[in-house]
Amino acid sequence: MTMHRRTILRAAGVSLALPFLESANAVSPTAPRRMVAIDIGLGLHAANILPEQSGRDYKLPTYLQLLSDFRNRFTVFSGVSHPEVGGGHLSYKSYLTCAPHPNSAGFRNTISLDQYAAAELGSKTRFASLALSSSGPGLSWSRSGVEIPTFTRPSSVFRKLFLTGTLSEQATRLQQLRDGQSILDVVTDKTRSMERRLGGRDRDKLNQYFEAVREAERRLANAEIWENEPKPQINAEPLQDETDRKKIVERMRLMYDVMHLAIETDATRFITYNFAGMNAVPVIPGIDIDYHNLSHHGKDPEKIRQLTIVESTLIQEFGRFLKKLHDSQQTNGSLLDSTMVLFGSNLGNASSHDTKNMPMLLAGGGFDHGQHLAFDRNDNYPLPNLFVSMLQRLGLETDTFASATSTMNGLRML
Amino acid sequence: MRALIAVISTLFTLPMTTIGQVPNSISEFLQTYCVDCHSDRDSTGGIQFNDLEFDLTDQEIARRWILIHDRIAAGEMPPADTDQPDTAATASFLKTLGTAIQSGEHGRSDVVLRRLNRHEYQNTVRDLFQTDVLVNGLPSDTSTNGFDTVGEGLATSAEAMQAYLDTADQVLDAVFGLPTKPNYIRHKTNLLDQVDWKGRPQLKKQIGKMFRRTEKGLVIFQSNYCPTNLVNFARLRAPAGTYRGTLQVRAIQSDEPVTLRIYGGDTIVNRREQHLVGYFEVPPNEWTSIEFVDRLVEDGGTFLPKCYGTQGTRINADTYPEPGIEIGDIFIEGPLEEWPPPSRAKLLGSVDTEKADVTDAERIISELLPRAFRRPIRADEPVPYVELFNQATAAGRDFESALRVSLKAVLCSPEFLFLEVPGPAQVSPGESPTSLETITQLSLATRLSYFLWSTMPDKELMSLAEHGQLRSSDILHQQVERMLESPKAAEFTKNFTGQWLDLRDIDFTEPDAILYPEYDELLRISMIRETELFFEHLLKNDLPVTRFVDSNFTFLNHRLASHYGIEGVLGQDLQLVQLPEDSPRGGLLTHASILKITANGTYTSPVLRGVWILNNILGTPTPPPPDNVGSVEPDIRGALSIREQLAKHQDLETCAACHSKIDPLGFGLESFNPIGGFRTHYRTTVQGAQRPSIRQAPFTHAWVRYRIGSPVDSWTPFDEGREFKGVRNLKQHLASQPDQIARNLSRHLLTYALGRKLGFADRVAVNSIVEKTADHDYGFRSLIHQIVISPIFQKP
Repeated sequence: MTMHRRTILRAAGVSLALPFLESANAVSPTAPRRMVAIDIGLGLHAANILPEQSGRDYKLPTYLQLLSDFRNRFTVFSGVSHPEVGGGHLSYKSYLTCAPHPNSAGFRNTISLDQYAAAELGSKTRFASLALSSSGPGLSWSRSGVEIPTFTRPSSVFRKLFLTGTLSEQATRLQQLRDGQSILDVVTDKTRSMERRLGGRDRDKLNQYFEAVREAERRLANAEIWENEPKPQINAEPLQDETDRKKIVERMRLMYDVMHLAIETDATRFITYNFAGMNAVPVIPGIDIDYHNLSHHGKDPEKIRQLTIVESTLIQEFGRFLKKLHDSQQTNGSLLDSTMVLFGSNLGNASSHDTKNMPMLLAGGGFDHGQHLAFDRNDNYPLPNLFVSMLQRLGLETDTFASATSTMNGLRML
Repeated sequence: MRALIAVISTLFTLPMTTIGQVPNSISEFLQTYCVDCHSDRDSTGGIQFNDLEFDLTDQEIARRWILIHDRIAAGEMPPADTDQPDTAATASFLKTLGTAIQSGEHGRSDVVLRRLNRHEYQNTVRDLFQTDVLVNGLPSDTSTNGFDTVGEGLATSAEAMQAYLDTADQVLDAVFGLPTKPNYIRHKTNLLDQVDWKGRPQLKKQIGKMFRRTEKGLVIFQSNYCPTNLVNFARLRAPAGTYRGTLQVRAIQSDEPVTLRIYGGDTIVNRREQHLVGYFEVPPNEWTSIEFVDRLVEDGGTFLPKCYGTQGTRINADTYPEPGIEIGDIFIEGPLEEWPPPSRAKLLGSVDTEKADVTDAERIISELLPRAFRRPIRADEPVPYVELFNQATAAGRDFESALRVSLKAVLCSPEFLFLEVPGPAQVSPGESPTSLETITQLSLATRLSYFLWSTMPDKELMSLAEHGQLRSSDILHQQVERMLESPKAAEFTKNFTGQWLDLRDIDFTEPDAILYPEYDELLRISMIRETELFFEHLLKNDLPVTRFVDSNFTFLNHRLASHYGIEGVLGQDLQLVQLPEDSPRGGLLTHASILKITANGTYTSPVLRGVWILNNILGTPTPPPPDNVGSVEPDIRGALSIREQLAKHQDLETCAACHSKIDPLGFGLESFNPIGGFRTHYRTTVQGAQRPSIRQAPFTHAWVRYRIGSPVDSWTPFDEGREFKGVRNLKQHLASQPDQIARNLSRHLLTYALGRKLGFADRVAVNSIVEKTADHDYGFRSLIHQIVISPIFQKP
């Protein structure tokens, strides 16, 4: 076995030469487990993604035909949703947290699936997690229910993951990390003493700040350890962003490319990606109506036709991402074997803002896939149960998450 | 039939009666007048009483009860064709429910502790250190009830905390300045002098084709692709900073001025930051000089001048007869900033950093803290910060580097980042509150300052507060006048209109290039400016708030006036314009900015526009659909026009409850397209439809590819038999409700200023502000004064 093998990656037309980085995995007894969660914010036309037959011998509907190579690598779910989660578009907030009533006046979110996992397992990689979005807010929420800011530009993610400064910049960085820790020590004390003067909801507010300070301090300590480890080396120009916001497919592809790189180099094991959609006509051949408007098709056949084109391209990009994970072979199998990829939408029917019957799909990550797990479309099965199965698959000893009642019925771990 | 229903309805027992908290009078009233209709999942308006609880400390439950209260108070419920309660019964019901809602709210006191949002942070560090730093990397803030000043939504994540550490470094870098004086550049150049990296003339190949060479320089015609970057300047690797540029120019082959635009930053490769410097009018024939001052935020930036609104050539520049701009000598100098920056001496005083020790550090920190924390400090408060300094020097760091650690901690401490408004539960380290229900004068100074300036209070405000003089109405009036006259009040215009009117969302959608080929950058920035200047004009002149919806003037430049079809406005600076009698313009709703924000780039929707008017102007939003609604799937197959589509909405009772309020308002604006242009017909891309008479779009000269679609119908049947046709009637209808507009504006202003959601209990205060403003003819400036002197402004 040679340690000089180079994998050639093609990311957005840029050739990346990557050193063989999996050496650590090769000696570790168990392959690391990873998780990616993707939300298509404007829904996915149910008739095109949810199969009619249940079980293993279902006929692939339009969108799943585009993923037919991976038929046995994913499970599709129907009749599932988060209990008590309504709120139309705002339900994206609960996509990974399952927190009830996201549109209510006093809504307070809870921790998202990825952050829950990252809190336990995140210190094993340089970055505990990555929160990404096409624009605006993402899917990740901290323990105190605070939205985690997202990266929207693949180029900045690339920089964060791979670019190293000069020696003197590195020394400065190390100094900053250490200063940061002693500064946050002082800030912690100040926060505690300020908290004593406050009452009621002000105190909650400051407590949230306190949690953020403590978590930041923990991360600085972790970052200091990682600062002494070289970043993965990549012989390539940094990724260039697609600046035209209407080229949603190109932008999505770049994001998937950088997600794949992050997983391949084991820079992080937990990624969320919120594809928020937009109120403009996307640059896709054959589309002349804006995407949001298409999602509210009102059963108009022309709109459904165009919506199908848009969503098909999104599914194709997803398939491309799965293929890249599948093609990245490591000693313990492919990256797809070790990475659970959750894909779907917070809206079951975008045309009516309905949050029941979420179209959901789980690929890879070490489950016995290849089926359509069909549940009652009138009385939905709790989707949080799937999250418990995913957490267990990561090796976490938990039998609950948010409103979950058990693990996912019918989904077997390999 | 009615008797039968009554019998059935008694079979419903309301679960809330079993909770035992609902006052009997409420329960009886509902049983008698409401339960018939509101008892199951399909109930109109989403209100169903059989699973509605009465725990009014819960915000969501309270929201629904407030809705019930308001619908009954407005006489909208029970509906006219059903049994009506008598006046006394209604009054008693409303009183009991109102009291219950208020007491529920009391147990849910809203957040008064709020973090600086990122705009306020930027302004505050600027004023704290008197440095012109532009910070970047702070995460965007969540907006609650429409504003990013509301404490409840201003959360802090670990990522934000790390960002604060990084931002503090940016601030301190600017305060202390570069270690060595940057080179001062004096660069005299000419477009003819530009050379590529090998020293070959850059534009040589284009001369005679795209550009015309003259004795003085170069004539440019291009307003789109125009490779006139000042590459020689870029090669100097100019350090980030502010530069002054002067260009000798004249317009040629034109009787009228021609517009020049200049961009700065990475205009060559377009990968890093670049920005618009400005649009400039170039008079014809006579040479004039254009001067600009611009900040290059990154090293190695340059400038790019090009025409605007002209039609270029690529083949025959020497004989091309169309208007162009001749550019002669160009001079750029900078960075104009002093070195070392004044902020350094301001902070350090006369300290010699080579010899300074902990005593100096202690003094510097002690002087900074009261201003950073916006209050006097106790003697022991600097200790932990000085301790950080000591730790750093013990580790061998020099004075400046050690001091930076302390200052960084100050900038990350909760007392700097949070606006603390000591309330009942708090013991203030400064002045003690005169009563438990009143905030301290220092907190008042801070609140006032962040309201009108979005930054920390200045010396005068602090001094008045420290001497206990700020609370008097006269002083407050004087201070508000002083503050509104200050240039810092521009922040109020920008941040408040940015959120009240959603101007910050102007770029949320990009107009479809085929349908709206005339949309360009100058139009976009002009439309925002129109609304801001209009707002400032009303504020400055204390004009009635009803002018917001109906006025006979506005602010225009040539570009925007052409867009509106108004002649005679010259130049690209916006100016006050009296509108012609027959113009549909005047008032916010006819501003292109608002019309664009309420559209989606391709289509307009009366629903979006109607909702916007209800939320932002009238302040009577329709409730969001409850969780269990939404299963009604819209089916618009077969519907043709927008009106017909919406008529289908109205057929469904669940939709009609709200849409009968929303749609008529929105239809009033149907004569305006998504970029705010007036239209008599929709534009379409359907092949075979009639072609418009113009081949190229104005200003951009883009080829026109859209077609003429169906005619616009803005007639609208309005609630309760009123009718109005188009925008004029809509404006009159709105302007006839000054109380409603003033009340809504007060609520928005108070939410923004107090940094908290307004509750049911705040209605009394709001109404009193509106009443007092009515005495001043509903003047907008008077309204601001009334808000500041009202008791609610001095409560936590």
